[in-house]
Amino acid sequence: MLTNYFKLALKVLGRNKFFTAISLFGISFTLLILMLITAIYDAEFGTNAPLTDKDRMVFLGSLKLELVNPDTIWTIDSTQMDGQMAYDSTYTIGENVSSTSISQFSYDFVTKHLDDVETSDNHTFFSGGHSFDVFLDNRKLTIEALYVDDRYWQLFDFYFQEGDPFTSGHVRDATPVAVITSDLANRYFGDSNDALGKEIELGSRRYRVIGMVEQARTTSDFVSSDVYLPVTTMDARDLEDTGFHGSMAGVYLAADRADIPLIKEEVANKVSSVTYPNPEDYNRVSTIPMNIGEMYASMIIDQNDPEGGLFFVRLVFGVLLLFFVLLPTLNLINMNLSRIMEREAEIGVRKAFGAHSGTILYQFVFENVIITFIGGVIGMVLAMLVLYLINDSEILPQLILRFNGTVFLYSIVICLLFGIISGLLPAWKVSRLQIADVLKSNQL
Amino acid sequence: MLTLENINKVYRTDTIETLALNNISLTVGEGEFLSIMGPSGCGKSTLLNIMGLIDEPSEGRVSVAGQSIADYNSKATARFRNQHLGFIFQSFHLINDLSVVDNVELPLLYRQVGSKERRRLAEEALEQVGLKNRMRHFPSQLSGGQKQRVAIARAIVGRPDIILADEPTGNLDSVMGNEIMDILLSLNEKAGTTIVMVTHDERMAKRTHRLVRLFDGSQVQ
Repeated sequence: MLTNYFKLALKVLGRNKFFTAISLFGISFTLLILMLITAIYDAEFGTNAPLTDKDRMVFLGSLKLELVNPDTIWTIDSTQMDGQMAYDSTYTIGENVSSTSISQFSYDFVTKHLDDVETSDNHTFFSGGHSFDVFLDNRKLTIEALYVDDRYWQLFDFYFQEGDPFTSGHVRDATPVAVITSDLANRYFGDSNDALGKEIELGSRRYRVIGMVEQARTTSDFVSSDVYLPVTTMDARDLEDTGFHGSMAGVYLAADRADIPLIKEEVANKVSSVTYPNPEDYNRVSTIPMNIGEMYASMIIDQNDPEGGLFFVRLVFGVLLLFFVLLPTLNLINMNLSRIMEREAEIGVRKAFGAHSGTILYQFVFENVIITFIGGVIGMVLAMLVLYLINDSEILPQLILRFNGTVFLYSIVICLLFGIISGLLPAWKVSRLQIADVLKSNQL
Repeated sequence: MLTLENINKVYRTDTIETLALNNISLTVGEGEFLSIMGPSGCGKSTLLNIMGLIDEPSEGRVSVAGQSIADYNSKATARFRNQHLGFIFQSFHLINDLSVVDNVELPLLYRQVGSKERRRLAEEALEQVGLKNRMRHFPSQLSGGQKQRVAIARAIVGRPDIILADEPTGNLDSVMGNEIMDILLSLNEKAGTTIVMVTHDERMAKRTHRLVRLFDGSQVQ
């Protein structure tokens, strides 16, 4: 029976080429976009090195300093009573934030107050946003650097193509060693094969290359860099500054995802218990530790409410995705309805010879699934082509988009849903037609 | 074998009510070849559709071998049609997107018949109507007579007890019409298949065992 349906589905496709072209374009283009979105999502949010354990991480990005004063707000209501004015006053005690300063943490602050978080399994502190301009053979290279500690390599699973990460000894002794990416090795030395042991000059210091890693393919500035240097080789002013603000960020690793709220609470409490040396400048110290989703959401929405921001981002993307799938599906339902209605007489004949409504429903849904699968295959081929072109052109240089199994699985599920949803309603409608009526009024 | 008792069929619209069949009672015996005649619009096809369980009477009772069809739900009715009835239509009603042999296999798709057995039975039915050599053709490649022979093969492939033919020669010239009639007579005589045929053609009707005449929805003979 399925062979019969399959043959018929192919025939129907060939019969009305214009409909088929529009139908297949709708399906394949929608799938192409969905596959691109899932590929980008997978590249950025998937379980990819060096952020394999990101779901167990708590990210610490900024420290907020505020000067808070109590504020009393008076409200006076007046009314006419017995020909005389009467007044009723109420007051609420709130707070008035008269000064706010937000920045990253200083090296002194994190090592003094945040180095001992009991609920965390491991943690790392690092400093990003350092950029060096290097002139080589009349070429200018801009090199992004991250100053990291030795635990950084335990939390982030970089793939070392050669050499090793630096050790606690290197960090303790501020040894000028560097881990560089193979991209930088190519740019700096012209060849990534013999970079190990060579020296790279950044600012006024020379670092010996002891490890070479694959470029982190993510937009996250926690891991994306050209060179990684021991945190203790940072500018002395950054290391010795006893102020609260600086250029440091941190990541805590939970033994289990369930521990993330505990870590967030402990870190937030530790920070808020620190007293600012000059209370007349700032009298409240706070931070909002975030999980990976909240961190991305806070970049887009609201840094003060990462949980709400994440919810909002998910809601917006969910609704957009729903509409993106729903609109072509509705369009397909409409087109399928007219296409299937053209085949009323066939339905009449099938029913006369023993098909019941369920069989007819099944046949048309099956046909639709076949059509959407063909659209899906075209969509997948197009997606592979577009992914290749995006990677090749380096439009998104920090990401490598891959057509992997997850994306393929999403696509298959989307295909099935497309086929079933867009075929179900028209098929249900025609399956209920009266045989005598359709045979009387239709010719095959 | 097939009994109709006091069958009425009324078509209703918002403004008008048309009595298509008026108190028809009829019995078709096993192995009988019955023809139904009457002017256009007298209710011949409606009567045939009710006999074939593809239309429902407004009133009255249809029973097969003593059992009322009203007791059947839609699934059971579909199964009954599939196993006991075969249809031949004036305008053939072949599925143009399927080959001749796939068209003939159609009734067997809705039975638990394996694909090889389906193919064997379809080829056998096509051989009976002399069209085995055209089994890979498509309906659009056939003449009217050939199409009707394919439709007959489709009607007999499941070896039904009753064949219901609605003007099977109506769209054919006299030579082809005679050929089709010969096939139907042969089926009735050799296989003992009960046939009910609606026709306009007096000559064809005379070749059957019994003739029922309708006029304005009522039986007059």
